[in-house]
Amino acid sequence: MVVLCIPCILLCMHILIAHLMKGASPQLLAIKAILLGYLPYAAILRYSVYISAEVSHEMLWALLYCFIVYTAFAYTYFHLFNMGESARRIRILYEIYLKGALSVSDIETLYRSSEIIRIRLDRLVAMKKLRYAKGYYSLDGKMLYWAALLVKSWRKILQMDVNHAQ
Amino acid sequence: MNSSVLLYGTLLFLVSLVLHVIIWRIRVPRHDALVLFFIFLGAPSVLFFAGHEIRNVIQATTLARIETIYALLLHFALSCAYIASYPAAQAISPSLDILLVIASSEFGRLTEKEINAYYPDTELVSARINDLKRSVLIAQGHHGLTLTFPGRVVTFFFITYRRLLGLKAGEG
Repeated sequence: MVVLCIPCILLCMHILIAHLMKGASPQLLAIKAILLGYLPYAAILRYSVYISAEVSHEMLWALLYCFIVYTAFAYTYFHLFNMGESARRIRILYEIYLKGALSVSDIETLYRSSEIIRIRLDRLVAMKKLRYAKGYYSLDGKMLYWAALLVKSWRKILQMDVNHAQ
Repeated sequence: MNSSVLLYGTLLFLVSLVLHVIIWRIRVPRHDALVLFFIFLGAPSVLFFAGHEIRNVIQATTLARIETIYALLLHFALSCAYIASYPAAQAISPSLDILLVIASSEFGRLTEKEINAYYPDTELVSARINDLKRSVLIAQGHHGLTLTFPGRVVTFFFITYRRLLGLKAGEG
């Protein structure tokens, strides 16, 4: 079961990259680690039972299977990392952990909406998803914008009603 | 590997996804995360590991026992990816929302002040405080909101994980 080593590959690659390339955007580092993780994964597959010298349909299906499973787990890993990096819930938990106890108004004072937006604008500019020029923010590339549209459409399918950008 | 492994794994995921959409369209569950875990991870596991009759049905398919496990693993991988994406749909994801707000603006560009105007001062935080209470990760104590045991476990996990990566606590 080669696929069971995927979480270890992802974590080890991420630790390695994060320590070698300090100072870069954490999200970009996570993406690089995931992409580089395909190399050791391919090497493990090369020496596993799946790949023999003879190309067969079974082998191609197995490779496709392994590719899908790695990509799905890598995507999940990225979200897990991103949760620690950018989730408001984790930040609130951390603030309460530091202080022992906090009232709702304490949390709202420590962590205002304007700060949440400021952090995200910086992050989106660092990831080259937004461009900042002459005091204005505009889209830089459309990929994340399409993802945002997809999420918005999915929310409608699920009949969940929160959205600002109507 | 038999191509049916991919077929059955994907089919199982799609069945779970359709079930999830039907339930959500009837009514979004109060403990939506728990229900989501049950639909995608709990129910297929229970069906696979506990039901003798179901096993017989599985044996009636073209899959060998080990291939059934592979199909289930593919389903779990796809389900984990979906569950990881779900929070973006469940609540406002400010990062994604900012992109939509800017794209829908008249000239396709906005200042920080204009973007801030879309978000009432406490809304983004208070919504997440309520989520944390509903998920039993925080609770009202004598001196304010405190971490519950699961809340401490989650916080400890993220602190340890980020230390491994050489990172400080996330900014949120």
